[in-house]
Amino acid sequence: MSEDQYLIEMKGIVKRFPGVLALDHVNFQLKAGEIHMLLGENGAGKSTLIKVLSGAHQLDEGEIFIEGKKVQFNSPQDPLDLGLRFIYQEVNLVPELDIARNMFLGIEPMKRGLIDTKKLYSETEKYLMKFHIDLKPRAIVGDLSVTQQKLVEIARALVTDAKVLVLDEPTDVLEDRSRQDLFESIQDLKNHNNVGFIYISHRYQEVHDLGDRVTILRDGKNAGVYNICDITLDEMIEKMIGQSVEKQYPHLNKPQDEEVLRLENIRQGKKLNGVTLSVKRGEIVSVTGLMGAGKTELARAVCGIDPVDSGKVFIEGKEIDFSSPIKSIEGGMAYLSEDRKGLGLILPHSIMDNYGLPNSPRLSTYGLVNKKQIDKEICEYMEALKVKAPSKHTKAGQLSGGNQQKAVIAKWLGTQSKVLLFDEPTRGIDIIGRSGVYSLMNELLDQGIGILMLTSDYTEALEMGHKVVVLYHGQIKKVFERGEATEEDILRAAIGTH
Amino acid sequence: MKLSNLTDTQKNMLKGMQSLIGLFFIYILFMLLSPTFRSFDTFKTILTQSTILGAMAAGTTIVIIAGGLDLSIGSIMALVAVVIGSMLTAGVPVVVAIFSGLIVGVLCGFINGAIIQYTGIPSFIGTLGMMKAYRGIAEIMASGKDMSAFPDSFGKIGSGYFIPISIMLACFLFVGFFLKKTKPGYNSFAIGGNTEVSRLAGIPIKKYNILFYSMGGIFAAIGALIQSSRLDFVQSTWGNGMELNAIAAVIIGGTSMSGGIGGVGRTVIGVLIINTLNAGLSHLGVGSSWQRISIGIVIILAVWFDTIQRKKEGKA
Repeated sequence: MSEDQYLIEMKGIVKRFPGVLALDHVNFQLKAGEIHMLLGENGAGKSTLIKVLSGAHQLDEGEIFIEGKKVQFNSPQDPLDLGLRFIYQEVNLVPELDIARNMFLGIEPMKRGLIDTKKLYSETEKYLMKFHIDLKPRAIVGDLSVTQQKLVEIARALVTDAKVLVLDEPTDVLEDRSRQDLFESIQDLKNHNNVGFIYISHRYQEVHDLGDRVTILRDGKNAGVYNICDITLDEMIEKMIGQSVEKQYPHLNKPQDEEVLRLENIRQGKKLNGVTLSVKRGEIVSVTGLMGAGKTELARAVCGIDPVDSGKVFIEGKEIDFSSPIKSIEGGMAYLSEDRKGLGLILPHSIMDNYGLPNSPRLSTYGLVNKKQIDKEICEYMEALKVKAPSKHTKAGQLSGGNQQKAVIAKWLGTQSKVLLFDEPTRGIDIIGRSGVYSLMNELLDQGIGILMLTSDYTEALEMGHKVVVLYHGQIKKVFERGEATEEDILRAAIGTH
Repeated sequence: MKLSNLTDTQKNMLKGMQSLIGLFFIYILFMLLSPTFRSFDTFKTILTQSTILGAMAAGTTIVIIAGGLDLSIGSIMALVAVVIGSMLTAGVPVVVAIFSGLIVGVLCGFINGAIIQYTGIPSFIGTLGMMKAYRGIAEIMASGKDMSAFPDSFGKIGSGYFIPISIMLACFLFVGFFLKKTKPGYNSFAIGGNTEVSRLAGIPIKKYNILFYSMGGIFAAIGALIQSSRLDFVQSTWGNGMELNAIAAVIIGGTSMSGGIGGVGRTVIGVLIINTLNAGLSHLGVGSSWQRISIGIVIILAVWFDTIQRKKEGKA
């Protein structure tokens, strides 16, 4: 195969960050009209490779060819000019502006040197219809759900004549139906417009269903390129981590009889309509449901983040005050947000300082913080939880998703929490990180901690829960004991047809 | 009707209406309280007194929408005034002096923008530093000079009602057009809303931001032009605190301090609220200290209402 057949060719790419060799002579090729999956653990270099391609990072060594021509990207504008489009993991829209302005951001239609507002809105309407997005061009993006925002973003990438579309875990926040819509759009574009796709995903089923070829990265190096039809799922995972994986979900330990958390009749406006449930010592209760069913609302309410209209919370049989976060923490509860980067950790601060955040009041005497004790405790927890970081002074923002989750857990174990509320504990964490988080949850159970896990991943809810509670419109629709339900049963309950 | 039932366009209109209703309320209140306030002359006076602040706040609106802040426009105003003043006293033709003043304004703004964009320091710090520097330069240039009694043709710019009010209106219209119809102006909202997203969309952030600060400089120069023409003399102490008044006008009007949301129409109302308050309180015989206190309270109230509104919307 001659080189000029490639739409994109990246040769011997090296990217160094202070102290880290993020990309070590990585090669990558994309053909026109193929969906090329990019697979690797967190920290394997997938995102760095994409950022080199997008002009967000400058490469230290190596060459990039677009349609056989050598290029050099100095700014994010350069790859855009060559027809490359990028959709990142985080939503990349301006929340203050409406859909139309976001869709044509930077490429607004012009008439005689001025913005053509009329065309801007009529074009947007056309594209929204084309991609079956039932929204108004003037709707403010900040008011949309995350799913809707993602769809807008994808539509935005397709507005211009894209040659290459790079998607970085785009379906992580999407519901099943929207995911199907997206796959259809991708297949359609691939077949009709000869667009090349680079698709980063940690969902193996997705990689298999959608991809034509896959490039696997491990520790910043190439670990192989395969046609999807030539490689099995297990082989793929093995290549990715350099060893074969055992079972992803651990065998759950038996809960004790004693109740550690009881919620009674929690009500909050239209969002929560009298939720009552209980968690035993050493038990995981999964709470699941569709988006907006009230999972996160429930956790935030009982942790004192948002006020409730009525309801009681008991910890170890004693009623606690949960009118503010500090009182809930003192009562023995801890909320591990799905938004680790926004609400779980202060990213520019060190692991130790993050640990100190809720723990310094406990470790202070006469208003002075006992740094030595904090130091000692965080070292113990980092070892116990196997946090992979150069030191306790490492900034939280430099950790991988799995290690960030561990840092959050350490923080809350320190406060002597009796109940942990995990909100989407593995969102955005890859398979290795996931099984780490799962076995950690299992170990926490041995220490007599009760876990309320809020998840939209039905497999996770089933595999990691002693009980599965399905919410529908802020009410408990159904409670399944372990082994009693299938994913389909849960889905039925979640959409209210059970 | 519940707020959540409104369409987004209606919500936006309502947002602009709030400060307008506030303005009407204040205006009518003073008409009731003070007999001398009830005249067309008072209205004309308020407009005339608004011209300098109005011109300068028009520029500030752009900078704030784009997520920045310019503390130096008061000093730029003084520097431009001193430049114009010394040129006129030296016998330089009026047109040349005016033109030079505008150029000095653009240059100052350009330097602000370039410093902020290329060093990466926050706009607050960058323009705070230049606020001191420009003021110092103005003082050096003005020292030992008597700058007054300018040619009659120069005096026409700021005298009477018609010309200064027209200049202010032109400034507002121009900024409105700039924000709605030109690419940099249109994208200023995106830059202020989320700089990184805008950068990834290929918008030349640095270039545009420098343009915004340069425009802020021009509008400060226009303020200097009106004031020096009106008073027929120039002092290097001018414009002290003017930058904060301009920011206050923009914020009272309802433009978001964090960028991304706003418009020049709102600033018009903000400027009028400040000057109506000042004029009304003077008509009632209230001193300037109390005028300041009331404006301080209005700033806090305006932003407070806005915060409440946002919280409600977030929960709906």
